[in-house]
Amino acid sequence: MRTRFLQFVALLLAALSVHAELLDRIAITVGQDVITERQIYEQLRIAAFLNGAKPEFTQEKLRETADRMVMQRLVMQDMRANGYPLPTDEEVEEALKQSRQANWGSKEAFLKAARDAGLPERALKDFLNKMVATAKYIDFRFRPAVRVSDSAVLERYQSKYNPLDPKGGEPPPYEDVKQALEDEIADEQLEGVMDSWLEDARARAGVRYKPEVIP
Amino acid sequence: MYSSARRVLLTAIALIVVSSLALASPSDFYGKPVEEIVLVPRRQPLPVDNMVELIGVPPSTPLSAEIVQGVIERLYRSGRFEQIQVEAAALDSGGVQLRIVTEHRWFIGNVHVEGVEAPPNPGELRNATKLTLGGEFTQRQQDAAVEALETVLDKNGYYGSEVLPVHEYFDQTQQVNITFYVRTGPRAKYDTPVFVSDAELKVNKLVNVSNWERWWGLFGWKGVTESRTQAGISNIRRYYQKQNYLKATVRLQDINYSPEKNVVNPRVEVQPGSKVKVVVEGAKLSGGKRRELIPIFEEQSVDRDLLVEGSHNLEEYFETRGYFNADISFDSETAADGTQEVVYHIDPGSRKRLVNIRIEGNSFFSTKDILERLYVLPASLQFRRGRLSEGYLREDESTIRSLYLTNGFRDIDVDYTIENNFGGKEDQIGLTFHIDEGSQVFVGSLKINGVKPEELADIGKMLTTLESQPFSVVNATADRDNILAYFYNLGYPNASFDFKVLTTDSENLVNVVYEVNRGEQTFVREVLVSGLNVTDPELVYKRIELFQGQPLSQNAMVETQRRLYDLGIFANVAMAVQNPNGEEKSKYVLFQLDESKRYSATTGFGAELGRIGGSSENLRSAGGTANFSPRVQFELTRLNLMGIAHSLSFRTRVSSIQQRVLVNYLAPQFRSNENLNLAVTAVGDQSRDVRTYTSRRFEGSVQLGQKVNLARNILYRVAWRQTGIDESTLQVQPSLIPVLAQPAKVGIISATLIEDKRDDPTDSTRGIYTSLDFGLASKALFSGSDFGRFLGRNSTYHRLSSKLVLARTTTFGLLEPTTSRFRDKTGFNIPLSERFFAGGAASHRGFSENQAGPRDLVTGFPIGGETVFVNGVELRFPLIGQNLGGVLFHDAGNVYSSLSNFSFRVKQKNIEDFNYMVHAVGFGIRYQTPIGPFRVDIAYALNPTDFVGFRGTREELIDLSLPELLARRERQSLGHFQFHFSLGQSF
Repeated sequence: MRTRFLQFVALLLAALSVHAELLDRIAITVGQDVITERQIYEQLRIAAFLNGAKPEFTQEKLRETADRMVMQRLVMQDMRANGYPLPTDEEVEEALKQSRQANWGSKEAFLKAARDAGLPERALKDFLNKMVATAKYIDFRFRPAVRVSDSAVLERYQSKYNPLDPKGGEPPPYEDVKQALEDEIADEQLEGVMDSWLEDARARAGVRYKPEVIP
Repeated sequence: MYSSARRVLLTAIALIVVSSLALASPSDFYGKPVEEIVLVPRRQPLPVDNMVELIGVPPSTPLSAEIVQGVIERLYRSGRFEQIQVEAAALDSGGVQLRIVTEHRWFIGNVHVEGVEAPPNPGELRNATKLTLGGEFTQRQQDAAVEALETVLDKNGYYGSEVLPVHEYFDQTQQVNITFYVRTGPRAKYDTPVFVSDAELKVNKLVNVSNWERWWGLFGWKGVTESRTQAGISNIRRYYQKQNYLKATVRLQDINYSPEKNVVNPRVEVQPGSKVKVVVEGAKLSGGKRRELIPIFEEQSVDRDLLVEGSHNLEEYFETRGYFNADISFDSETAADGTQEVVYHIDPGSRKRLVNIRIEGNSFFSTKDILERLYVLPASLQFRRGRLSEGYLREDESTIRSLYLTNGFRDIDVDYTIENNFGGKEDQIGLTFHIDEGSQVFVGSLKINGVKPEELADIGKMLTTLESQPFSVVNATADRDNILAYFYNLGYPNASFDFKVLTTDSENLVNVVYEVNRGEQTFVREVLVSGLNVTDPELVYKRIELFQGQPLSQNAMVETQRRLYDLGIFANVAMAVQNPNGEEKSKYVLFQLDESKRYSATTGFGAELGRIGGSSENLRSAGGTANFSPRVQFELTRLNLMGIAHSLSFRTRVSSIQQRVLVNYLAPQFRSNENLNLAVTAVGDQSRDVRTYTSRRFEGSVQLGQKVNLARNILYRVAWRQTGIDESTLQVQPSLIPVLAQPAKVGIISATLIEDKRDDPTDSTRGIYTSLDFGLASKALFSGSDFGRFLGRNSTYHRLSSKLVLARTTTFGLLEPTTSRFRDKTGFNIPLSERFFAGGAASHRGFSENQAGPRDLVTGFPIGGETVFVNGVELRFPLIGQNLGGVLFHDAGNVYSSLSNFSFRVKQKNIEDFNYMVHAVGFGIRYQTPIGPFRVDIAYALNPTDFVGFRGTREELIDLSLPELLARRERQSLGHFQFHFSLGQSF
């Protein structure tokens, strides 16, 4: 009896010894596209690397990264479907150059740091490609629709720099802050339009998170 | 033994430690050759070759993250997998074993909801689930479906129903059939509604108009249904509108359910708003027209936009009535009591006639070609003021523009002017369309890219854009539709088309390039049929036009659907492609069938009006008197007998002149041949449609129908009938009664050829209709008389102009004895019941129903003949507006005692001569209804039949001596005027 038990345990352990290692799996589906678990981790690491920070693999960070990747995927799908211009190699190279100069100074230092972090240059370029594409898409697709009226700027000025507010102090001249206020309102409008588009696009594409990967 | 086992255990532990140390992360596998690929589970939803292609990793390929990513992406795009996980294990050889672990997706198959007494009916419940045939099935969708069903059930008074989804999974096809079993309690009933806010009107009245009470509350309340609730709210809203509360909003706030009593108290929120009074000044306008033209009645709102729209509608309305310069304005005021008064001031101006329409500047198209396409019309009998309005003019401008554009005139410009006081008369106006054609552009060359040479021949036949022909975008668009349909039918569901127009050196010449991108071809993997409960599956499978391995053709799908509907046993034939968005080479095609109810019952009511009356006792009115015969029909059909689409019908028809029972067994698509049908019929009939006698007929027949082509049908028939004539009803001279009253037994074999090439069978304007019927009654068929029978009819329809149709019909029939057997026995060639009778709305309108031809020489009642000839000619034309038309007709012909007595002679020799041709002219009115034109015809017979009639009763006819009989004879006439009411054209 004991012998049989030991043999059973031995076979079980032998079976476990050839247990396969998980390489990758679907984390999110965006219509017919997939985002895999490995891609999310890689994105998180790249984002941290380009910001000169240490990656944090917390649930919140994973979810945040996943959401951003979903948005990028929806943007890319819409750009392809509607023939929006995709970023050129020069634009991506320029973005990479700016990032290199900001954090590492020289190209060599940058490449060494990327190698040390286990991030291939291809992945970094791909990351930046999507970033640039999203920025271009926003400019093409949504920014032209944003209109800020003078009355809206004036109203914002009056509410922000209320002379009756005892803590407010002396308000700056309207003309001095007009452009900043206009940009502020435009950004808010842009955000609103994008949020609405994103919500609609997610519903249309049928975005689904796999709970085993993104709980 | 113990030590050996211990050694194995230690070795295993050592292996684990080593392997786990050696393979700590996925990157350790990257770069190593893939030597084995294992699929988990082994049975995958795609064919092996398809899986190999999608995985796309040849042996010894160095593993990388990108390769793994590619495998996942390609497999996922097939649409067959819910989750794909790629694992790696080291092999002793140093290579890698790739394990692809998949979780399959499920697709929606048959969806049923059971256990609910309608309403809601099963179709409504299934629609509520929003589970689409062939679509992906998820738990979330099912939860939503259950929730939706509960909502629908609540709305229909089934509160607290339990919905239990039960699944039937089919692993091989990844299909899941879902049945929602519903347990409902009794349907809740309405109870006194609560009206929130000031309802202004009496609550009792509102409850009454809601129609939620049974018999005005005498029998409590009705059961709750969604449509009844909606109708109740609409009724209340309409009631407010009738009381001039045009702005009233009536909304169902909620519907309070009391589980103890199983009743609901609807809470109805009413905002009556102020009263709105609409006044029209300056012209008469009925209440109905006001509601139709002024949108504030419909929209329950009063704002400037709606009032302006009403003003435009009124202007358009008055223009169409000849007030082309009508001036409409409005103002709105609120009175002291809060009533809003909207006043439309109408100055219709003088009424005018559009007497002339001219076209200027046209050279490519003739004026006639353009005029016949226009909606505006000059004054005529049909439109006394002509037809003109701003709206019609806009449409006509657009019509002319489109006509030129499709013929290559890219710069076409169309305008119009209206000339008042046309021809110097104040009440006349003229209209001129000014056309600037511009230059015509032709196609220099046409190139089609992306098409194989062998496909080009097929595509070439469907092109409307041709070299050297005028170029138009409309034609190119039509070509796009045709080309895409061609590729869709070849199994290319993602085919796309684009075209470019390239300018050339010549201003009038362009080169056209069509770019076709066919995409991937899709094939049929298998056809899956669901929903068959009693129907023989073989019956369905034989009608499927899609075959495994063949391209997935949209045409074949639609054709299959049509063939299944043609069986007449399915209430719904839904079809879909499973996994429609998945990128897989071959797909399952799904047909979900809903079998019709097995029994159907219909009841109908009708009436005949005409010269069908007259006392059966008093014989003075042999020609018939005006009478009315109500009719009731009932039909019960058992469909899909034995599951093979055969049907058994029982029909009855009861009227004062006919009582009939009919049992019919019909085998459509007989022996699986779509062009054959077999009918076995038994009829019992008692009728007095021929006024001379009442007959009792029992008939059995077998008929094989063959559809030769779209227009031509042949019917082969064998019939046996016995017709007994009620001696007491026979209105002929006494000496003939015993002979004519003898029951006639007829066994007849016949064939009928029908060729129908009319454009519209109910109201034909062009085409030909022909029917030829040949029959032979013979002793061999157990017939009591032997004769041959021929009845042919040919009708032609010609459109003389856009308004005039000339129609003609000729009927010729002949009965010829083939032996003297019957004559030897009775002295007559043909039994009375088999003879031809004619006259009436669908025959010769100079006679009333069945009054043509030979008559009894004592009583004057018709006794039929052996030859019939009727020719009718009609000129059909519009009278007033779109729906009222008229006809002028001429009918000629008669029923003749025999072929040898057939004559075109128009004069009746004496009152015992019936073998002459009766001519009748007349006028008819046709009013278009959705079921065909309603018809009134008044005919004037130019040479009506005079005959010998009998002055007295039937008893007197029997009892009187011969001299007395002769003394009672008198001259009678069918009269010049006949009238007919009917549905449908006369032919």
